[in-house]
Parts: sequence; C-alpha cells; structure tokens
Amino acid sequence: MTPTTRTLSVGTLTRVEGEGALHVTLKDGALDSVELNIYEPPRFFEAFLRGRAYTEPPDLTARICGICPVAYQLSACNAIESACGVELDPELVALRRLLYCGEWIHSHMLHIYLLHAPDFLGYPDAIALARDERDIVERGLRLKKAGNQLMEFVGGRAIHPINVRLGGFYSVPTRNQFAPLAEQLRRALDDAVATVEWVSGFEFPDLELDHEMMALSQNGQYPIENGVIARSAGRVFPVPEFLEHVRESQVPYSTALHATLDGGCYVTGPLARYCLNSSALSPIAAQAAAAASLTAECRNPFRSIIVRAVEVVYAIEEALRIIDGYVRPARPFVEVAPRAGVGHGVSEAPRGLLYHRYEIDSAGLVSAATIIPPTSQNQAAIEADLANMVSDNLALDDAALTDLCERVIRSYDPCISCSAHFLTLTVHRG
Amino acid sequence: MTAGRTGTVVIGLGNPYRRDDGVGAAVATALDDLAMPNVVVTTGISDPLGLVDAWSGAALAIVIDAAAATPSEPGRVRRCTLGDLQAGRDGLSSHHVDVGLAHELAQALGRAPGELVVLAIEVADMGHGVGLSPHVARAVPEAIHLAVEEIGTEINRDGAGF
Repeated sequence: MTPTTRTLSVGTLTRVEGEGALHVTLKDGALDSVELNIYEPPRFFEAFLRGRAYTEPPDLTARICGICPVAYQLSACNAIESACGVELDPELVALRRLLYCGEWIHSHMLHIYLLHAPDFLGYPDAIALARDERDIVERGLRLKKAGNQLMEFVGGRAIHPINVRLGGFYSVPTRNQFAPLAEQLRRALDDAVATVEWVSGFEFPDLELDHEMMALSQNGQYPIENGVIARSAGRVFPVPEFLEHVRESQVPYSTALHATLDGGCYVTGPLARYCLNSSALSPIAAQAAAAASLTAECRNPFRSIIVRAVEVVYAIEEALRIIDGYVRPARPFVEVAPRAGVGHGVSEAPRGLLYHRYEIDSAGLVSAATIIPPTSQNQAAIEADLANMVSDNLALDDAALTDLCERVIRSYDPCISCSAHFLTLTVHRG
Repeated sequence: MTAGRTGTVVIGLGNPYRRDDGVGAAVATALDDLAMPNVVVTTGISDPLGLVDAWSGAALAIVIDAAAATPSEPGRVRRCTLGDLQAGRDGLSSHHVDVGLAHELAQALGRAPGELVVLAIEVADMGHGVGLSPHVARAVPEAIHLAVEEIGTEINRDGAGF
C-alpha cells in the first residue's frame, strides 16, 4: 500500500508580537507533526532596553502590544520598584488595579465579540455576525467602549496609556470625577452578565486539557496587577524564583521561544486564572459562572470564551468596588530612586501571566532585561492541543480539520486569534 | 443624503507627534476653527473602531489622513470615496481594521454615514517630532478647500444652502 501524506498548512498567522503559520502533517492516517511556526524576525525589545534609564521600561515595553499595554507597564513597574525597594501606597495600588480592569474589559470584549464568537455561530467574521445580530454586537461594542473609557480616565488614553509611571501615576483623579464612569460601569455590568448568558449557550467541542495550570495568586483576590506564582501541581512560589521554574528554549521552526514549567508543558491565561482562583470571584461574577454551568475548574479551551465573559463581569464589579472605596492618593506617585540590583515583576495580562526581569546598574541604567509574555508560554500547550484535536478528528476533510485547528488557536490568545481570522490555507496531499 | 442622517463629521486621523502623520489632525483643526454650522470635528481617534462611533448618524463623513504612496509626491491630496477603499478581505481582527472594514461594520450595524469621503495627503516625513514638512504644510489649504467644498455640496444637497 502506498503511504499517504496529508499536510495542512496555514500560511500566515499574525499577532502583535509576531507572525506565524501552522503546519500539520498526517502520514498513513496518523498524526506525524504539528508546528506552530512563528516566523517574524525577533523584535529585540530585551536588547534595546539595555542602557536605557531605569524609568523607561514601562513606556517602552507598553509598545509591545496595543491591546494589553497596561500589562507591560505594570509588570515593568513591579519589577523595577522591587529592584529599587519601593512599595506603593495602597491607594495607588488600587488605582493601578482599576486601570488594569479597563484593559481586561476592553481586551476580552474584543476577543469575545469580534474574534471568537463567530466561530461558534457559523459566521466568517464579526461583520457578518453584526448583519444578523446587530443588538448583540452593539452590546459588545458598548462593553469594549466602557473598558476603553476606564483606561482613558485613569491612564490618559486607551491605547498605550500615558499616565503610568514608576511609583504610581503622573496625576490622580478626585473622587467626584468618577461619577460618570461609575454610571457607565453600572450599565455595563448588565451587559456583561448578558454576555455570559449568551456565550454559555454555544456548543463546545470536547477537549480537556491535562496541562499544568499556572497563574498568579493575590491575597485572596482574583489576581490582576500583582501576586505570587500559583500552579495546579506544585507549591506556590515567589516571583523571584520564576526563572528557576520556567525555562525558555528555541525550537527550530519558530522565532518565538517556547517555555516549560519544571520541564513540563503548561498553560497560562483565563483558564489557569479561573481554575486556580475561581473561589475569589466577586458575587455577581460567581453567580454568572454558576448560571453558565462552570464548576470550580474549566479545562476545555473552547469554553475559555465563557471564562473571559465571567472575568469581564468580575472586572466591572471590581472596578465599581474600587471606585466606591476610592480615596484620592495623598501623592500621585512614590519617589523611586535608582538602586543597583535585580527586580522581578509579574501581572495577569488578559492573555495570561506576564513576567519581567531587570538588572539595574549603579548609574540607574538597565543592564539586562527579560520579558516572558503569555503567548510564548502557551505555544507548547497549543501545539499539544492541536495534536490531540487532529488525532481525534482524522476522519474530517482537510477544510474541516483546518477550521478546527484554527478554532483551537483562537481559543487561546486574542493576538493569535486575530491572525487566525485571516489565515491563508494550502492543502498538500501526498 | 440618507434618511435620518444629518450634518457632517470631519475626522482627522494621525499622530501630530510623528511629523506629517499629523496632517489629518492639522486640517481637521483648521476646519474646526471655521466653526461651520452642523459640522462636528473629531481628532485623536486611536482605536479604528472609534470611527464607527464618530460618524454614526452623519449624512457626510470626511476622513482626513496621511498617506504613503509609491511613487511618492509629498503634498498631493487625493479624494477617495468608498469605492476606492479596498476593505481588508478577511474580516475584522484586532490589529487590522482599516477605514473600509470600519465602514462595513458600521453598515452592518446601521451606523454608516450617508456618504464617506477620504482626503488622503501624501507625506514625506513620519519621523518623531511635531511640525509638517514644507510640501505637506503647503497642502493643508488645499485639503481645507476640498473639505469645505464637500460640506457645501452636502448642504446644498440637503436644501439648506451654504
């Protein structure tokens, strides 16, 4: 019998940090290989941060991503403030968390309504969805706008906020200034709960992750702007130990590094956050999760759309809680004097745990920088999931199998997901 | 004009801190200074989906933006309509929303302007800093004139005179 080869090639995956492709090869009816190929040249952020002033990484690294700049700003601030031995006033920490809530709302809504939902409803994109479901897409845009406006209010603008600095903010609002924003968020809460109801009615392919989960744990709160590292199969460890557990390595087919957790494949992002912190959800978010039939753990990546929707409910409730208890900080920022040393910083970007490490020399210049974004941490897990899905669905034709692979990728990461909406597919049969 | 839509919105796109990329905002700001009736001027949109909000309900939307061209003739002003804009072929994504796609989404939502005109001004310098290069600065009056003509035409079409 002549051996047969099926090759599924997705030529162009693009995302904020890079561009990539997907190649799946089947031989003699069985899976041979899966490669998530990130082929864009490296952007060298870690290299060009060297020699820059210790005050610059928050603004420079924010440019890595237009969707989650706050994550880069705050992971950088956490790392450098740690190196310099500075602790923020609690009111400033609360304001940072509030800003981050805006980023979660805006980023998750973009992903849920404009990128991910069309997969479940049989539409090629959100424009087609909007033609049939105008009110639903308008609801998503209202929610996204609420997140953007929260970012604008606290951060100065929605994309690459300008009000964040080491030690806090350049300026801080008065309590009275929050009133219109709070009103908008109260309305948004209803839309967010409706979103959970909507997405929980979708049909989800069967796929259960058995990867280890890693996310922050933050003093009993649902983790956002800081924390220690929690995992599903190991002890919690402090942030400075991150690189003892997480190792990056190159694979020959990708310019993005792969990461392992103590040598194993793992997942970061909404599913990991939820699995490790679902007991810390706020009341309405917990209620929405229960109504959507989410139990304490969710390991189906397709159902991450429900988890993201629940996290938006949480972010809105949390924002309202912070606004309700807001006391204008006595000072907009804590002075951060340079100090030679090493600092580690983490936060929960919408897509998952984002780690920064900086070495600062005696002149206050960055002498080394390491940035490990969630997307690279998840690459190995995405490949493993693709392998499982392909092996379990070999009877599908090439188009259907490729579509399923793209859905797996989209379920992980808004940046890769966005690229997956303009994939070019070529099928080679041998 | 399309029923239910009134007035004109002028949208100046671009970043004034990147030299000629600020030409859209410069033209829009100059038009704002003219204080024309029923004309709303917007600048500072950074999220492409912001276009959907900005032109919602308008009879005429004039989008003014910097353009890179090959071969380049800095300062040349091109008037484009919807038919000239090629929407991205593969639907919306978070990092690829152009004016055409934003218009398609607005149409699907019933929020497209009655008419869309894009004034694209070819640029020479998109480096850091403020201020337009000489060729592009000289194109600003022409772009203002074209925009005023568009607004006048729209008002005449609406029967209100100008």
